[in-house]
Amino acid sequence: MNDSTVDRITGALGVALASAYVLYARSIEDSMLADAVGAAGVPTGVGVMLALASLALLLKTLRPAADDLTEMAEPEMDASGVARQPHAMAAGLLAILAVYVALLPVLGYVPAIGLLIGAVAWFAGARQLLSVTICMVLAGPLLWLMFDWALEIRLPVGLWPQWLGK
Amino acid sequence: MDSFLLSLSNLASGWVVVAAFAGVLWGILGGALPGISPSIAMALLLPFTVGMDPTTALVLLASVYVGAEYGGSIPAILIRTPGTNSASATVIDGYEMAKQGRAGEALGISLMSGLIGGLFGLLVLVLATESLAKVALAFTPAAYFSLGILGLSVIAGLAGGSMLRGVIAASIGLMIAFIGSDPVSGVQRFTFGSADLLDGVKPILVMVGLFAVTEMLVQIGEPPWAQGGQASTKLKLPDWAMSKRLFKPQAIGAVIGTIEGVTPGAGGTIAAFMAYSEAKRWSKHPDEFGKGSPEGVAAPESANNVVTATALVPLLSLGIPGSNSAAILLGGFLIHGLQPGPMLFQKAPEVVYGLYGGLFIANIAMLLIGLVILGPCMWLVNRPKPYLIAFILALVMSGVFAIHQSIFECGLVLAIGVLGYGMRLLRLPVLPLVLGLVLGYLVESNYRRSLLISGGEHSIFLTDPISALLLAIALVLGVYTGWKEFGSRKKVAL
Repeated sequence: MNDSTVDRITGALGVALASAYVLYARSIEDSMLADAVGAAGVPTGVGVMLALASLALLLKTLRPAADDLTEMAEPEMDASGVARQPHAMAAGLLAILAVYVALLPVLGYVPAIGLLIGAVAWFAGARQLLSVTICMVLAGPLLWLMFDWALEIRLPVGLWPQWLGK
Repeated sequence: MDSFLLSLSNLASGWVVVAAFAGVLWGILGGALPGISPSIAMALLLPFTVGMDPTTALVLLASVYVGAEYGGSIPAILIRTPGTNSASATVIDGYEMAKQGRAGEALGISLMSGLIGGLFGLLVLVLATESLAKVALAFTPAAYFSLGILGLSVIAGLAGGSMLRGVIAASIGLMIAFIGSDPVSGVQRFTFGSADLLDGVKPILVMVGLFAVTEMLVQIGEPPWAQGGQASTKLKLPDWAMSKRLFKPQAIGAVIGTIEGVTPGAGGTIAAFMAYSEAKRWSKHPDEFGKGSPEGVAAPESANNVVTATALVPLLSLGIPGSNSAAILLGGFLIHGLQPGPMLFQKAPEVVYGLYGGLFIANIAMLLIGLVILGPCMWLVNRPKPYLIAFILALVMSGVFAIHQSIFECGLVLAIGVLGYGMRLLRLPVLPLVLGLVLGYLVESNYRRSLLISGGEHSIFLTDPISALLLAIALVLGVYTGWKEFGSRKKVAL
């Protein structure tokens, strides 16, 4: 994507977000304790600011080649480095993380975090089965010891007590 | 001076030394774990201080604060995950240096700047507590609002060359800040009926999502994979030439950290961002900022470590806890039957001066412990990438869950990670978003409180002398930064 396309997309998304935000803000009902500005006042102002900045960015794209910044910024476009295949990898990683979040209350912390580590390591390219397995088995109890035992932060035990009839 | 000498005499107490070292070690561990804030790390130790001598107990708690503020910079530099809110500004150049194989240098600069900042803050605390307390008292809601505007005025310096993109990102940050209960009337805003959002979105969740999760989403698509073990794992402290270069950004950080520290509610995060922006403004090498500048690490680290001492000014002199960490320390005082405030210096001078002495030891402990643990930390992040990504995400997700034991927040962090990924694609800078998020509540709540006080008259922001001064500085800084950033027609990607 060149600079102009990115600006156009950013501007359009900004205007859409700002419009939805201001509409939502206007629908907020004030309580009896409300002041003159009201609960919607400042958010509306910020929404308008976003809309104006986004519009300005959109308008900038209507001035082709007049801006030497476009040329200067060209190499940085590649430096952002996110192309088609990396998007798929990112989506895959996100899916693994989402599955972890879903499994956490069911399986409990130790199995879920072990599975997360194994799945992410494999997905990221680790192919040594023994190493991955060792990481999966050891990481959960070690992290549990650190958080639950040392820091006294209770971690989910999952549905194991229910399944085991306790 | 007598008080300073008395505070030094406390160095002789063996338990104070043990408490300082233990507190710093615990604080560094907590600060380095995303999700464990300095106040949480302190709160976890609070029950254990009940049976202790008051001085030892307070030194232990204050040392945790010192260690945690420093510890937050370690993951910020090594894995682009700020362990604490105030380490967010360190991510910018610290992580860039790490990517260039200069992690040891960045950590050395962070350690020394933290030490210098901490000791400077302690000196300010010892010598100027009473006079600086008056500054804290003079801050009205109008002045707080203007302080927030002053903070937002540095957006241009953090926008990476496009003011419009900076404003867009800052607006998104402000929008996130407005989620939750309205600060004046308590009305729910932008919660979509979710009880989990009633308290708003905690800044640390946004920072972990924007920095750590986004970085992992990008890293997973970037070959080569197993490149572990190539970068240097040796800690490099700044040499004389580098120290001379770092003096100015450290001094800038120290001054800004002092002002922000004594102002209740301002905190280390704003100080770090402002210090970064000002260090860039006054640097001879502003083009290096955002690309791995040592000065970009020194300024925020100096600032947020100064705050660990100067944040105690309003607490000790007025009894006002200006931050969550100070509130925990206040709890430590109250547990031992001590009430911070003007009378504390008369009623229990040995405790106050003992705390000063303990803070001095804590800063030295930070240096010594840092020298020992940073090498292994660097070794850890040089493991093969697949395992590194897996363990970083495991640590991040565990830390996020630890904040409120909330599954919802784990999902929220992933959503914010996706937002950060989208922002990278659209080349929107994340730092203005973080600044907007951090300052949103401060600006809105004090804006509306000021108008309530003035009966709706906006002139209150100009008739209040501190407010007017801060607004004037914000205007000058904003215009100057904008002119310098964009007048030169140079585009610097963040």
